Amino acid sequence: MSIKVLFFGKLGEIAHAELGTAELSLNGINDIHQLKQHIQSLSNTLFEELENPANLTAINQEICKTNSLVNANDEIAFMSPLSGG
Amino acid sequence: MLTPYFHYALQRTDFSADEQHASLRKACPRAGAIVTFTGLVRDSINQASPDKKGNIQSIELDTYESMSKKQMQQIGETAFKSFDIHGLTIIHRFGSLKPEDQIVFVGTASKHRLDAFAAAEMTMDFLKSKIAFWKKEIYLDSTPSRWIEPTPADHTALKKWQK
Repeated sequence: MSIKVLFFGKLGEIAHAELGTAELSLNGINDIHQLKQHIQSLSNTLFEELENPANLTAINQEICKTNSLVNANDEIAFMSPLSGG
Repeated sequence: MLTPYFHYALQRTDFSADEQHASLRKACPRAGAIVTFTGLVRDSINQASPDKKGNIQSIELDTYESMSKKQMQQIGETAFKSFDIHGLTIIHRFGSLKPEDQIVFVGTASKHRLDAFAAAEMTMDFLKSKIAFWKKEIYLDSTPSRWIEPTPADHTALKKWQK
């Protein structure tokens, strides 16, 4: 199954620097924990920033828990602390 | 009974606060109060001296557009449920902005002023720390650019609306 993974804010900047993109398409991922492990295999720097407890994770634009399951065609977003207005 | 007016937009381009006010007023003919808030880019953070020029060259506002639109819709629904308002407008810009540029507009219309004031305040508090936006400051001098995070004051403001 294929999922889309996005990075925003400081995480997006680090993803660009480390992976050359802030958007990934991945297969064979079953949950957020497994996804983070995969990201660690791509970039330990990005993984370490992902571990910031102030970050948020969303599945299909809804905030989710860190151990949530993912399904085919889901859009996963890793987001640095929000700052609008 | 009139249908409540709710207009929201995410855009790179500037907006006219006067035009947004006029649209809100036209759409809410029975309102007795309109409150508007316009957020601007400052040239500094916590500048102690107001006559000293700040060192911010620009800010980069990044957004997760599909999520932000959903969140704006949810903020609107919460505002209409929480307050007796006839109308609500939210405009939020993204992209590269310079000091003095407009970032955000919130307008509320209600029969009496208290609901309009409170709905505008709650909407802005939610926009500050609950919407998928990220703000990076770029400086005129050699100060490294930095991502802005919500302040303790932002968190305190948000708690006021959590029941």
